[in-house]
Formats: sequence, structure tokens, C-alpha cells
Amino acid sequence: MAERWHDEAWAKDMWWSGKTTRRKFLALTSTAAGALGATMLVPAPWREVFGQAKPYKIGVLQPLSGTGAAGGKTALVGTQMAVDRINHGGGINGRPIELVVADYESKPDVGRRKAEKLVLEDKVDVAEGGYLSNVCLACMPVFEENKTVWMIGVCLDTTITTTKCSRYVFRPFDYAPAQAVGFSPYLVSKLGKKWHVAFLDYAWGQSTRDAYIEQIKKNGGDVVGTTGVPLGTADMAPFVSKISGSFDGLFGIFFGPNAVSFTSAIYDLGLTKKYKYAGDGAIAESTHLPALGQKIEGFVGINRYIPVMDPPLNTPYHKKFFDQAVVELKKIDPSGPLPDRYVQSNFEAMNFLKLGMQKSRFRGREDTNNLIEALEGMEVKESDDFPQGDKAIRKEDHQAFLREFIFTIQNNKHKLLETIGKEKTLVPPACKFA
Amino acid sequence: MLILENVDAHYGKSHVLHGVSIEVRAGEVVGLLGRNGVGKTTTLKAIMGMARRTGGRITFEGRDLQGVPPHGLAGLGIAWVPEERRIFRLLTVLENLRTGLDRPGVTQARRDGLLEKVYAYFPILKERRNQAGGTLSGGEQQMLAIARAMVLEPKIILLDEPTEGLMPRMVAQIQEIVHALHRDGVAILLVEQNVPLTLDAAGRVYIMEKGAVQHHASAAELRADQRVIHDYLGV
Amino acid sequence: MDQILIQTLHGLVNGMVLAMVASGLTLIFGIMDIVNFAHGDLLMLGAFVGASIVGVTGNYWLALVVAALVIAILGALLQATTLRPLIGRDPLTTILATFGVSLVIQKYALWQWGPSVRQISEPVRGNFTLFHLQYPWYRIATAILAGLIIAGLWLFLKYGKYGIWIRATTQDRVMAQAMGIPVPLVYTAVFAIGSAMAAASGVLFGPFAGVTQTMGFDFTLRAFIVVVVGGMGNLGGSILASIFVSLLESYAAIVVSPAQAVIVSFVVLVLTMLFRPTGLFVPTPK
Repeated sequence: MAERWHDEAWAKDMWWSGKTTRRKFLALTSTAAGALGATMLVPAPWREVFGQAKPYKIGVLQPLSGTGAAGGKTALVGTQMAVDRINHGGGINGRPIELVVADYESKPDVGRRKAEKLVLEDKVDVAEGGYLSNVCLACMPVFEENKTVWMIGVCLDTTITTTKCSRYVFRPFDYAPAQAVGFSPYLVSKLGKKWHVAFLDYAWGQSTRDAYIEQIKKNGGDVVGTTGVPLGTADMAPFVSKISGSFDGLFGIFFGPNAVSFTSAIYDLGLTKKYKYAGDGAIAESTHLPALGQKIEGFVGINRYIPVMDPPLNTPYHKKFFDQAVVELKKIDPSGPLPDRYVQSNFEAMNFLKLGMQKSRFRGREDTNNLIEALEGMEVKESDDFPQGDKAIRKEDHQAFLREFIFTIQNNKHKLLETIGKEKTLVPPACKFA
Repeated sequence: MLILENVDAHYGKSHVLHGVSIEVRAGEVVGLLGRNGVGKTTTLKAIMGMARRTGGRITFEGRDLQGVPPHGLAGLGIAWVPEERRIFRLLTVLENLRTGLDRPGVTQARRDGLLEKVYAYFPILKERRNQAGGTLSGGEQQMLAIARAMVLEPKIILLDEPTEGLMPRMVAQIQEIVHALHRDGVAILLVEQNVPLTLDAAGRVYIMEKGAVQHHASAAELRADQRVIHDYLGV
Repeated sequence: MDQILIQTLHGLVNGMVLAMVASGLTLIFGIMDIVNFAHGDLLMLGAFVGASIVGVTGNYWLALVVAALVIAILGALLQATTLRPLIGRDPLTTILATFGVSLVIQKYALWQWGPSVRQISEPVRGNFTLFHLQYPWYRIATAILAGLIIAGLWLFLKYGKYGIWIRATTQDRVMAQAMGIPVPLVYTAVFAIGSAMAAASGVLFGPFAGVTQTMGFDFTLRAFIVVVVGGMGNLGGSILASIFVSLLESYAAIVVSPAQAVIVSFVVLVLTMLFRPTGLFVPTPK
């Protein structure tokens, strides 16, 4: 035994050959980053409580790196809040939940690979999550082929529950056509007849644009022009400068950092002074408000969730959800944002899975058919599980319908203008399961 | 002052120098003759730490050069005028000189003095001081390369084929410079193919063949008996 | 006509910011032959540091200077610890190393600052009327400031003692060493300067569109394009190419849809690679 530890051969290896150490350090750092990004098995501290009960393995797909990382991280907060609550409350059918989180790096091909890994290698019982629509669309066939239920947490592209719908995939929250149906009467009657639609030029933006064009026209308004902006454009000013002419309102369809870019550009160029500014609620998520400051004042949007305590959201259920989400979000974001729809829909998606698994006495993937039948047509009431409000998953297309909130931004805060009941957002089903 | 003892060197896998031993004393001009490809340039590169040394020892004023980083040699007093001249082509003449002048510890007055000195030797460089190095003629580039080495105030200059490809008028000028440097007390290790020039400038001469020193004599001896030169260089 | 003037202004403003990003990148490539994939992430990190300082002190100019300094130090450390040991190895290893650094920085930023978008409020308020638009003075100020910083860099490289060292090392690293120039130190210093340029661009661009973990990506991509189009390692070429490509994209936005307009820079890239592989503003050697 050497007298001092760094006389040991291994210590010399590590400390005295400086170059190797640094290279090793780099290799270790990147491996560690990779490992964190790939899969993290969330250990269950409550294991003992459940004794020998075998946990349900639930796969979660989220972008934890790349362009969608910020949103994916927020979305994961909702999932984990729900799982903690379920595990503390005795689990599902007496069994705890173990999450298998897969980072798909914001890329569709990686998403597909990670989905396959979840289903084939990790052998998850069911799956949840998804954030970027193009990734959701790429992953859906994997779940269909492997007959595994996927409860989507965020993806909004219309076709997920219409032309590309799958018997194994559920969307327990709203989609653009329902929002367009709910929002367009207000847009045309209260804000203006003539609209210019600016949208993020990819799957979700395009399908949402089409939904609004249809509904605005149906309500007696008109869309006089559209502008698509490519995903990830740092400065949108050159693209929005073309927006001119005579119309009443500018309707924006953006989310994440793109929403901040877009809003900054149109504000800086004086377009928000000339035209009314409305759009998808994703533009004014609470994580964007501090960055946008006065630039977003007066924006009118529609969203399934806004972080306010005004009626009808002044329920004990919502307060409980809200308070806990604030605490959990503070842990991942020192600026302490208020909860947004990504936290809400992932939280509720997990609770839908819970109810479905209880109702179908789900044991494992062999009971997938029973689980699907249990979820189809499921109606839930406003409760601790569903703080956003009542909702129902339609049997024909696995699309949920729920109430929507029309809001504006005042003093950098959400202000509720009108609540649209879920029956006023109905869109006929357009799905044929294979 | 500069001593090479049994130096071996490799280029990749080929063994280029086989136990080369050379000594240059302070203020001495030493010639290194030999045909193309016998390892003369490699010997200089081995001193500059640019050829992979695999054996032997190189010391300068008693100090082993093994541990000295390539950029530390100039500070010790070793300057290199490479065969290809290696002028910084996009830098002006003055900027080329500044790469040697702007070292720490050189006062403004000394810089001006050094600049004046090299301009006195090479008036054409003063004339062209704001011209890019790459636009100079071959002879002018050679002058600049030597001037650039001179501003380092070296104790020894490793001068690699300074007259290669130059017109006779230029060759004479280079010859003068070598003499002048010698008068100033700067040692020179002169690699050349030009025998008369070497025998004129150098005090002692080493003759290399196949990566090794084959003959060593004073210039006076060689001048008296040119057979050796014929044997090794075929001239 | 209105559109052409407006887009010229946009092209110049964006071109100047891009030129700042690209000048750091091309400086590093020119001297070390390192393709720094983490450049955009250093920009992002600089913007976050800047946003934090603006948040605490409210002083934009202080944020600009401190962010540049902090990221310069980080860049120097990064070069000394991860890239210096790789000098002389297969270029692929440095590419992988900088790629790894890029991932680490992105993860770090998300962990440190969270998913919220940060704001850097503009130091210059107000705007002027430009046809149907209001044009913010800040954008003009940004272009001028970027121009001044680039001019400062250029003067430093042209006349400064260390500037001459840097240029000499770029041209002939072996001869520079023989002249006594401490080349390893020059490498580290250049990496620090390049990083500082990236950070300063991040703080300058911050008020345009907020500060996010992903803001560096678009810049890395576009900066690479202009560095190739301008001639790898050629500072003047990169600056011209930045303005050229930005103007072209802006003009393209008049006639085609934005999605097609952003392809313009790729088209320029491909054409340059095909017909003038040494860069658009450098004559191809015969």
C-alpha cells in the first residue's frame, strides 16, 4: 500500500498524465450528458410501501435536448407531478408507477428509435408524452405496430386524431379545429372581420392555419393573407415586414421561442399598433411573458389552460394543482414561472391512464384492448385529477373535448375574458381506425 | 556554443539523420555542405525542434534543447532562416519584422535601432516596408527572411541555402551580409550548395552524406585540397 | 420599392450581427483549423449572462462588456482543457469535442436558467416611421455597434502587437514559433476573442427575439455558411459574405415565401462550393 494515495498507479494515471486526464474528462462529461439525455429510470422511493407489487412501467417521450428542450422539460413536470400523486395515493390497482423517460432530442428519427426502444427493450406497459407534432406523427406507427397505448401529452397537430389517427393513440386535450370553432365567433364579432394569419411553417402551424381560415370564414369574417415562417428563424423581422394592407387583426400561430421571436418582431415594427393581435394561446404561455414584457400587452388568445384563479377556475382542485405546480416549476426554473398548458395536459394525461387502467383492471400489455375500450368515451368531471375541468374522450377518434378560455394579457398577466363550454367546441370526427 | 552529439532524426518512419555531430562555437561561421537530400535541412530542423529527434543530444550554451518549446528558441538566441524563406506573405515587410521586434522586454529605442540597422543593410526593405511580403521578388524575400532573423538579435543564425535560385548580383549581396554578421560576432551555421561561397564565408566546414557527417575540415584545408569536395559533392 | 428599402435595412442589420458571429468563428478556424460547433452555444451563454446582468443591474452596456469577458475566460478555459490536447490529431476529434461541448453548454443552460425565455431590454428606445412600419432605432444602433466592434477587431488585428502575432500564426504557425511567438498562448487568446465576439453578438441580438437555450443553433448554421462562402479563415470575406447572404435572404423574402427564402443561403453555399471553393471573395488559385 502506497503511503499517499496519489502514489498509487491508478492515481498517477489520472493526475500526472495531464492530457489523458483532460481527454478522459471530456469523454466522461459527454457520456454523462448523453446518458442523462437518453433514459433515466426514476427510482421509486416508495418501493417499500408497495412490498412485492410489480410496478407499471410507463414510457415517457419528451424532447429534453435540442429545439424543444425547454418545452419538454416543462411538460415532464406535469407528468411527474401526476405520478408522484398516484404513487403517494396507493398507486394503480395497488401497483406503483415507474417512469422510463426517453429524450428524443427534438428529432423525428430519434423519436421513432426511442419509441421502439421503450416498447421493445424497456417493455413499457403504456406510454405517455410527446411534445413536437412531427415527432408524434413519426412515433405513432411504432405504438400501433406494437399494440401499445400512447396517451399524448402535448402534440397538437390536427391529423393525429383525424387522417392519421390510430386506435392506440389518445389525445386527452383539445386540438386546433376545436379551438377554431370556439374562438372564431369571438374573433369576428369582437375583434374584426378581416384577418391576416401568420403561422409556424410545419405540421402543427399549417393544420391550425387551415382550421382558422375555415372557421373565420364560416363566421362571416375573411382571411386576406397568410405568412408562414420557418421553424427556428432567429430574427423574423424580414419575414413579417411584408405584412401590410388593410385588415383588422393579425392572427399568430406560434409556440415556444418562435412565439417570442414573432411577437418581438411585429411589436418592434409597429404592427401591433396598427392591427389587433390575437392568436393561439401558446404565444402567451407564462414562460414567455417575462421576456415579452409590454410587447404582448393586449394580445387576445385562446387556451385550454391559463394560470388564473378567476371563476370558473377558482376551484379547490385548481388551487391545489396550481400551488404544487408553482413549487415544482421553481425547481427547474429559478425565475419561477406559473404553470402552463403543457404541465396541465401531461398531468391530466397521466390521470386518464390511471382511470383507464383501473377501470380495465389492466395487468400489462396483454390487456391493451381492454384499456382502449375503457378509455374510449370516458367522461371525467372537474376534480383533483382534472383541475382544468370536465372532459370526454370521443370514441370515434380518441379526441378529447374540453372547455376553452379566451383571455387577454394585461399588466403582463393572463386575464380571463370568456369561457367557452366544451359543447361549443365540438368538431365532427374525421377518423377511420385501421 | 551549439553542440549536436550523435543526433538521430526521423521523418515519419524514414530514418533521416544517423548520429550527426556538429559543433558551432560563439561567433564562428560553420558551413554544412552536401548534395540534395543528405539531411542538411533536417539537421537545422532538428535544432529547431521541428524534426522528430530519436536519439542524441542538442545543447545550446550547455542547455539541453529537449525541453525547450519551439517558440522558446528565439529567446535563447537561435534564429532560423529557412530554405523556403517562409515570409508571412499577407503581412507587410514591416509587420514581418515586427513579429521579431514585438517581443517582451524590447524598448522602443532599441526597436527603432534594430529597424534602422536592418534597413541600413537592406535599403530596399525600407522602401517596400508597407508592401505585402508575398509581393516581393525572390531576392527581396531572402533579404527579408534574413532581416527578420536579425531583429531577434540572435547569437546564432541557422541559414538554410540563402543563395538558392538567386541572381549573381543578389548572391554577392548575401555573401556580404554573411560577412557583416560575422563581423558583428553572430555565429552562423550555413547550409549551402554553393561551394565557393561557403569556403569563402566559413571557418570550418562539415560535409554530409546519407544523413551523416562524412568529413570535417577547416575551410582553408578544403580550399587547398579540393579533391574531397569533388568526391562528396561531384563538382 | 418600399419593400426593397425595408429589406435592405433588415439585411444590413442582420448581416452585421451575423458578421460578428462569423468573425469569431472564422478567426478560430483560420488559426487553429478548428470547426467550432459550440460557437452558437457560446453566443447563447453570453446572452444568458447578459440577461442576468441586465436583470440585476439594469445596465445594458455593463452586461455587454461583462458577458464578453466572462465568455472569453470560459472560452480560454475550454480551449486549454479540451482542445489544446487535441492539437495535431485528426480534425474529426476536434469536431466531436466541440460538438460535445455544445451539448454540455445547452444542457447546462437549461439546468441553470430553466425553460423560461429571458429578456434583454433594449438600451436604445424609440423608433422612426419607415413606410408602413415603425422601425426601432435599436436595430440601427445594433448594426452600428456591431460594425464598430468588428472595426475594433480589425484594427487590433491590423496594428496591435498581438494582432500581428495572430495573423502571423494564421499564415505560418511553424515560422511564427521560430520567431518566438508563443503559439499555444496565441491559440488560447484567439479562442477567447472568438468566444467574446460570440457572447457580445448574443447580447446585441438578445433584444430582437429573447434569450433561449436554442438561439445559438440558427446562428451556428448561418455563420458556417458565410464562413465557407467568404473563404474559410478569411475575416474580410466572412464579413462581406454575412452581409451578402443576409441581404439576399431579405430580398428573397419579398418574392418568395419565407420558407423558400431561407433556402437561398444554402443555394449560395452550394454554388460557392461548386464554382469557387476557396470563397466568393477570394480568387480561386489556378
